[in-house]
Amino acid sequence: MLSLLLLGAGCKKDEVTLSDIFRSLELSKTTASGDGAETVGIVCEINPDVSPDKQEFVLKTSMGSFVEGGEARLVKKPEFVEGRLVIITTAKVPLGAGNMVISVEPNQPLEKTDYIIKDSLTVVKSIAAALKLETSVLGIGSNYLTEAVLTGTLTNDKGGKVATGYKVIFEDYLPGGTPANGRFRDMKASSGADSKVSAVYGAGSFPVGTDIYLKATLLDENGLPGTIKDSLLVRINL
Amino acid sequence: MVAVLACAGSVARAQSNNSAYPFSQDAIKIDPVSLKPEKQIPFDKPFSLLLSMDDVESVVAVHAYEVKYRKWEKGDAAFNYLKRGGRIRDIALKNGVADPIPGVGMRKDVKQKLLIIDFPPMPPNFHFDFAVIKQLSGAALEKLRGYTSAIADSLIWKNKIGLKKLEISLYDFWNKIDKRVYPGQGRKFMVSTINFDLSVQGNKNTSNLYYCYDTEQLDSAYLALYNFSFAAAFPDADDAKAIYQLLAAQKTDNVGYAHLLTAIAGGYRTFYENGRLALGQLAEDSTGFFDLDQRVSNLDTSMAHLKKMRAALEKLVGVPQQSLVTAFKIKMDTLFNNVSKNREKLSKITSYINKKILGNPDMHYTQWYVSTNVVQDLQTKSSFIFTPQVGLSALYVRNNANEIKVVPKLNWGVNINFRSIDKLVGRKYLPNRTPWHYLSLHLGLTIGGFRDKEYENLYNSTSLLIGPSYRINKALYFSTGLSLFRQKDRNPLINEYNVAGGLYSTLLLDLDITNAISTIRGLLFK
Repeated sequence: MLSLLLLGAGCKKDEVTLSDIFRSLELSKTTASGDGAETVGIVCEINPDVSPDKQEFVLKTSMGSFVEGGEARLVKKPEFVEGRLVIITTAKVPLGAGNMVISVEPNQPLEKTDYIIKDSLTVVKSIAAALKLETSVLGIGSNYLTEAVLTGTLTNDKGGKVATGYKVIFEDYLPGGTPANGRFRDMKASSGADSKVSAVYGAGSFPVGTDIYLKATLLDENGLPGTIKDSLLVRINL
Repeated sequence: MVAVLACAGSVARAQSNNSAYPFSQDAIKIDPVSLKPEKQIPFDKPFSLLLSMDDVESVVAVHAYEVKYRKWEKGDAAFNYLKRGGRIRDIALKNGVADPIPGVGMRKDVKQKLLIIDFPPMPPNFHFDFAVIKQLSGAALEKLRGYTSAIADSLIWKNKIGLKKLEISLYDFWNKIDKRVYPGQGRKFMVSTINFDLSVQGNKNTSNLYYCYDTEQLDSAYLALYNFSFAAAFPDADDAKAIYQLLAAQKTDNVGYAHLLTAIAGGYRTFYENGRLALGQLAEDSTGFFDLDQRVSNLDTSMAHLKKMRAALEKLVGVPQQSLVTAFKIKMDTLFNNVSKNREKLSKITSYINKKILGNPDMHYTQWYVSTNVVQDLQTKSSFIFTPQVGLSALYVRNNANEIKVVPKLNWGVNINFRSIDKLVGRKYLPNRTPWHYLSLHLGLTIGGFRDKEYENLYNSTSLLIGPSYRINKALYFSTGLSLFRQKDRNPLINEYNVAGGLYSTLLLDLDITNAISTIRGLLFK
């Protein structure tokens, strides 16, 4: 008995591992669409033996932000939920794509070793599935007298925003398919964080009552017009 | 005789040198009734046994022997007082011979009638017996003299007394005074063996008792006695009777003559001549043994009577039988001279024999003190099962970074001995010693807190030490084992302190010793 005690006393101790602090880190999904709006549920279970005064943790996300605070860093204390000491929060994916890493670590100045638990999800690009073109006016003056502001909104298949960088081309046609040769200015042909493209359009010299078709077509990866497009009709009224 | 009765020949040993021992010598009285020591005999230091003894001056030696116990053996069957299958108490033998314990000495305080036996330090649980060897004196001597007188009688009477009967009687006598307490080994104490041959009687060459008396020890005296012819000078019975009547007619004391007539008429003249009877004693007393001294005394009595009778004859003046009176005077003078010669002869023989007996260094008797002498064993020191200790320890702990750290601490505690032990006893005196005799279990508590915040004491300001302890000497112990304290959880997010174990080693000082030091210091700086 004594020998066993002595043996035990002299044994090298096991290193403190991550599991001594964190029981688990669970994300509600493994993939998310990077539409800047989708949220990810985060549940981090903490070792209930952790002393109360040490129960404060820092959560970080490599992209996107936490819903609480709206920042990529969140300091939060765990709570007991159904017998488990857990930190529960949500993060919002960014508009874009990439590997979204969620990490949790003690909010303590540790001398020698960092204990950080991490998990990640894949944020996939929000692919444009639809383009809706809108105009600020339905009638414009001839000979550039007045202009129409065209706004194209790109949406994915869920109606959410799409990744930035989608490019569209704006075109104008007269009835019959003849180019109207109007002028587009202040063109924002590449989609931004708002998932929109825009341009200001002015028509040339046309008689009042002339209809002009304004059309926006999403370009594919190769810069060629694709199938996603939208158009609208404005009339020369001055 | 002397040779066959001899005990161990060597006598008193050198006195014990008390100054060589670190402790004062204990003096322990031996109870005169139970013959047991009145208190425990100590070990590891010299001691003296005190025996009250009226005849202390007769002691010539004291021998002590180690006692061993053995199982009953078949050879013991001859001794019916040895319990079959029992535990036999025997003297330890060295090369087949009883070897006295060296260093045992004796002193005699004649004034106090005290025998002081000095013993060297003995190991614990040591059993010993000792024998006080005395010169023959008192009742023992008287008894022996009875036998010598019997021998004398047998010689005077030309072996009319059976020597076989004497031998048996003397054998029993010696067995009583020179106790053979170790049957089967008693001979180990004898220089010579008592070798009575009871099958042959009267043969000088084989009857040892006769042989010794006649040819060895008391040869010349007994030979003279054997060859001595007692004079037969008694007067004629008719003459004596006539004188007796003359004295009666003259109203003169004639008592002695009456005895003389009885002796002559009864044929007891030899009894009076050799002193077995004195004139004035009845003839019936002539049977049995007489001490030689008594025999001389009897002759003195007879001579006194003869003087009176001779003086009475001088008063017979003017009587008609004057010639008878004159002739009787001559016969009485002759008788007186013969008795006187006999008396002188017997007196010389008696003195010679007495001197021979008392002067013989081997004519001793032994008084054994057995089964009562046990040096204090370790069990008697039960108070030393627990010994308080104080010491300086080093705790070997492994910190949470898995590094070995040494934490010095003061500690105190107790040693629990696995054997009841006198901590003052030298290890060399431990009989059948095993590691358990100097190993003990140490239960200790550290004193004071830890400087390193990673550790806390097990309870309040103390942590527990438990482990085997090794007795280095009388005052110092070394212990190593398990230390129990509390250590901060290795998990940095857990503030709790858990019971943890480490190793320790400590050098311990016996607290009793420290008390002694304190006492000495108090005496010096008072």
